[in-house]
Amino acid sequence: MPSGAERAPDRQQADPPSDAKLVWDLPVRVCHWALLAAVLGAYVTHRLGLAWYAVHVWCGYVVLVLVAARIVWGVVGTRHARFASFVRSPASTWRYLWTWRDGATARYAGHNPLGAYMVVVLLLLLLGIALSGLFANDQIANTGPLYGYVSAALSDQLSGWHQRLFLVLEIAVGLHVVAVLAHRWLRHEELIGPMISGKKPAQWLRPGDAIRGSRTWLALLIVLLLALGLARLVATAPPASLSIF
Amino acid sequence: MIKRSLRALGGHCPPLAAALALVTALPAAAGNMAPSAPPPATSPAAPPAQDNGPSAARQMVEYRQAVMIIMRSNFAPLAGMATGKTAFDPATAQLRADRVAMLAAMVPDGFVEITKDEKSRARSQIWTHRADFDGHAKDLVTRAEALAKLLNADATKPDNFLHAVQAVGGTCDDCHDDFRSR
Repeated sequence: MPSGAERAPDRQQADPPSDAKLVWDLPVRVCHWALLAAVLGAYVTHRLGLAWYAVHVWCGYVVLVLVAARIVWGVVGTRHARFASFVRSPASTWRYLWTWRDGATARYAGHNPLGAYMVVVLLLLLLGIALSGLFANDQIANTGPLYGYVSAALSDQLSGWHQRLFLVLEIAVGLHVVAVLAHRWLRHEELIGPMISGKKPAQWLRPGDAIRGSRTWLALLIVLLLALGLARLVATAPPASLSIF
Repeated sequence: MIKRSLRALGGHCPPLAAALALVTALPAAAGNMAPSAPPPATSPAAPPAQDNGPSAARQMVEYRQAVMIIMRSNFAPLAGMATGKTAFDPATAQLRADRVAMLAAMVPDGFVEITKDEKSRARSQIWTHRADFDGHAKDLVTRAEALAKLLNADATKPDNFLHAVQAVGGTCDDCHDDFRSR
């Protein structure tokens, strides 16, 4: 048996054992699944056609507010939500990658080093897509809510970024899903359950890794302020459209 | 403002200051040179020596871009009416739909081989997958005509007005996805 009890027993695959401890606060978990829903919604409404454009924009607003809130939360949130706690140097991430298949490497209370970079990449991609979408246009009828602030040429360029970054996002999300499944099947490390319940088995954690509470009220305040800011930004944008008649 | 910034920069280093002084004095010196000398070849007002106007290929590109702009200018109000952003007006809707149908037929005009090397958002796939491109163009005409016919038949807002508008818009998007660069 490797030291530190890192190779966890198979009973982990069932409900988390009673000695599971909270590591993911509620805001992080809600953010994860709400972002998934918003991104799916944005994609589906894009495919459905121009009748669904208003919903597409709302999905974009949700993405924008959640991503911005998550970035702020990464500074003021609970321990494992903070970027400082899980983003590690490229060197140690490289070492982690090489010993990954060997289950004897540590399980992490929060994000593992590779997952950390995926979090950063996903957040940046989503931010880029949502921000560029604010100014984008679809050439035929629809314009983003802040279209009035930019020239037609700049809007065209940003629209190009909006589409290209989405293609990169698809690849990143694909890798993310494969990685999570690989953790489950190759390292016997279930990660989806913890991202729903917030709890990981105590034997994966060091003393003091567990968090006491979620500080949800602070997260709600952050989301509210950001949402109000975005609402104001959108409401005060100069009216503009592709329709000249 | 530029001169002030340059002077501030040069204030920290005398050789740099001298070089900057020389550079900023050059335009003035040039202006003082023999006023009866012929105007410089790169005067912004004079057109380039060789060109007699845009080439035929360039004109074709500008023609088809104009067709697109006029078509979308007529389509956008229809989308607004279909999605309820603006009030439906039968006469306006009919006028716009007729124009879109007419312009849809004009789309292939400007996509000719001589424009292959012209700078535009038309992707090279148009020339290598011409059949697909022509298919999209044909779909556009079919759906635009269907929309116009739908409106001509009914003085009130037709039941499948949104569906017909969305069909036209979807054809625009489909063709752009394949043949217009991002």
